[in-house]
Amino acid sequence: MKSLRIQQVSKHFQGVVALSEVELEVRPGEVLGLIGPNGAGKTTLVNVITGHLKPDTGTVSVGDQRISGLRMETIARHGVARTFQHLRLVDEMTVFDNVLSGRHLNYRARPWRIGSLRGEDRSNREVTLDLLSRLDLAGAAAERASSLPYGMRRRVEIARTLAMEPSVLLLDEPTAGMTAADAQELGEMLQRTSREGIAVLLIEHNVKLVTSVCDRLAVLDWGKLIKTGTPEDVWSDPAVRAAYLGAEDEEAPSPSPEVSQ
Amino acid sequence: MLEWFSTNQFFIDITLINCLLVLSVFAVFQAGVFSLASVGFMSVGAYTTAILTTKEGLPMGVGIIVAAVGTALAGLIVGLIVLRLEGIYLALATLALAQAVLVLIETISLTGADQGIIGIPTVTTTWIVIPILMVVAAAFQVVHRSHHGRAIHLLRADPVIARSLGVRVRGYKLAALAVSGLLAGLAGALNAHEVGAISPDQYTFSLLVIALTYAVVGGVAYWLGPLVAAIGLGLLNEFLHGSGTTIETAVYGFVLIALMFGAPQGLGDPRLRGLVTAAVRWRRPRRNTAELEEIRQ
Repeated sequence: MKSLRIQQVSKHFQGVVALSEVELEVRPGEVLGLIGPNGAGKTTLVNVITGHLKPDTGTVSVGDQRISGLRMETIARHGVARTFQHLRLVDEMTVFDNVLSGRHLNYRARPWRIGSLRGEDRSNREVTLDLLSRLDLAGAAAERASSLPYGMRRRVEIARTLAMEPSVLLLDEPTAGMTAADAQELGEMLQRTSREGIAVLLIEHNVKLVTSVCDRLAVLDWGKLIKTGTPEDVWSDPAVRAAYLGAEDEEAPSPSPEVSQ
Repeated sequence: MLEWFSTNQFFIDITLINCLLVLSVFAVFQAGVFSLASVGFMSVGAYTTAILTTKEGLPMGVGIIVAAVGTALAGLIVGLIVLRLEGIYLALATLALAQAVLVLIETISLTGADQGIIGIPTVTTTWIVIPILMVVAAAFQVVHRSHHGRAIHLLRADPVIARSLGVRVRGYKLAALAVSGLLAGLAGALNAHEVGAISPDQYTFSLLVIALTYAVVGGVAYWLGPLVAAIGLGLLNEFLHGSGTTIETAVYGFVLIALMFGAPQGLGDPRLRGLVTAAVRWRRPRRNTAELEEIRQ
């Protein structure tokens, strides 16, 4: 079990501050919700963690291993899995193959050991089928990914990341395009998944979902981390309410799970 | 039929050797590398075995193996140089390297300059080429069905997804260039031992265009497509030339356009394969459980 540690991370784009000295830890077994207005730097932070972007300063570590500055594929090999804000699947592949491709790092047998190779392939296929069942996708296993509705495609992307058996899971607006019931179900599934010792960082605009699912929330505004704490602490903070709504407002998000976006 | 085979043996051998060249192009294209170095590798393979067998007196087998291994290494070196580039820039860099090799061949005395090399033992036969092609096809099939095949598909479709799943994109692309070099070198060596004489003007840009056409018409999704395209279009081309008409080029062009419209992803297009599978199984409608069981296997 490993935690994700972000220390003093800053990132600029041609003079525009995207992230400014962000300091954050996601512990194993917890779901941390990363929230903030559009353009706050949430996706940039995920891109920095996964190696898609290099930080100007600061470090990112998984457990004791520093991962900032490494290639994306090497960071994935350190147990970091992600979904994308703009859904990314291989459309012409079947749902099963899309999810099975998440098992790439679990193929370790030497090519000349044909027996081990077959056994390994079978067990990876079993894990994939199990994941498809867990995410209610088994019936669509043989369908091409492009033929599915958007909400199901989102679930396929999440299944692919879970297939990696990651230590750190980064989900960038995973419930976009889902019904409220599906989103809540997914949130509960994420909670169960995190209890297996995975550190989950959830970027989400659905206030009700993050409030009910996340153990802690972190709020980014203009690239700065302005508050970290339990959902109750965060929503009662005047600075957060101002950042989220642009000003102090009577209708600011409430800590009650009944309040939706 | 047997008579046709015996009278057309040279054409059959050349077509099968061309299949290796087309698979060399396919190997890089399926990994998303737009390399145009295949004909350059082919010339290196041909000259390597020609020099080893005519000037050093080594047996043909040794010449072909050294040619194939040498061009695989050349592919690796080319990869280390050009993989910093992408798309059209990579294509131009590989083409430039291949042309530079040809200029070198035309210049130095070891390769016979523009006169080339003659007296190469003509020992290539259909029964040597077919097993080689079968081994290559089997290797492509094994890779296609393995997790490496999925990784290659991923990095062609979306390198960002591939890298986020831990696929070492650069490693796969280097391997693709090495395999491409190996196959083209093998094709060049077998071709040299088929025709018995080689010169720089055999490795022209038009040969590259033919190989590219077959690879594109065949598609980058599945190795069988380029193989079918190389054999089918090679036969069609030969038939049209033999028919004595003056419109053969127009007919050939029309067939190519029709194929590209009919199967835009090539003959290996999953939809085409789906049609073939459906036609084979028309008596046995597929059910979801059967499909899942098939996937499980």
